[in-house]
Amino acid sequence: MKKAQAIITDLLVAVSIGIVLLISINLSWDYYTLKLSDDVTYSDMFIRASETSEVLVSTQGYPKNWNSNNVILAGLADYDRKISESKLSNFAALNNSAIKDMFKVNLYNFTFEMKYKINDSNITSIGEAGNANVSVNSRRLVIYRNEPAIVNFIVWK
Amino acid sequence: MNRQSLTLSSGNKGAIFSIDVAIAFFIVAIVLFTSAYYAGRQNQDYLANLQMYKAGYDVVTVLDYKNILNTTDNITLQSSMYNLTAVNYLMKIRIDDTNGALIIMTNDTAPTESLVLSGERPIMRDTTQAIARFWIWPR
Repeated sequence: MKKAQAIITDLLVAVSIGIVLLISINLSWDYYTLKLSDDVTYSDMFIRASETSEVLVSTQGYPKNWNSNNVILAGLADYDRKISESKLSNFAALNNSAIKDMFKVNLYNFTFEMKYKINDSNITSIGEAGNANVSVNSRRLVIYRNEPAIVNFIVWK
Repeated sequence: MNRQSLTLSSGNKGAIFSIDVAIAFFIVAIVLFTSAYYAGRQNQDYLANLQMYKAGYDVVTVLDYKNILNTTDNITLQSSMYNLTAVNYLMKIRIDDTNGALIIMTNDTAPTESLVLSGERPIMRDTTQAIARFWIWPR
């Protein structure tokens, strides 16, 4: 009888410890799963913003002399980080869904802003408006009309 | 009788076995969560470093287009670099000729205890080739 009681007490203690352990592992698991999911989303947005801004500021696009009718991939540069006025106006004429398809950012919203570095005056701003829960900005320094300018390509959702 | 002694014996063994399992389970959980934490963190560090590296190249490229890398005035190079560098970074630029001899260098000193990224861009100073090296680090 005594032995049986001891075993039950042991069992209760063991079960309690086990339950506490399971609950804490479950809570930790949920936390890390959520965190990992956030990290994956953030990384995906960051990579897309970074790659898109790289293509825009460093390449001429494809075809080289693209316009809104024949564009396959938009690039805004005459030379590396030197933005072409005509390409920028062609880019501004594209619709948002075409840009999202082109740069594979369909899952998110985007905003493209360009302004002069010296006085922050706006050159162009295209994309979508709204409230962002998560946003990633790829900020690039370029030359536009022989003046330093800032390109912000923001991916958000 | 035989059966009873067997049960008692295996009962004790069972308890030891359960502790083993609990410890093993605990260790696995710790390893798993620690790995997940550091894997996530390393990825974010990599992305932040990529952004910083591109920012450094952007500054040197724009300085090149603006013909400022051609200057012999240290102050001009320094102030132009400051004006173009994003507020969250600090930079140092050094221009060498093709033999590695120093032509001009900005004053900042890169920290030794934090991450510093560097890169270089071949440039033309008037008619001679040179190398513009940059170091960039978080402010």
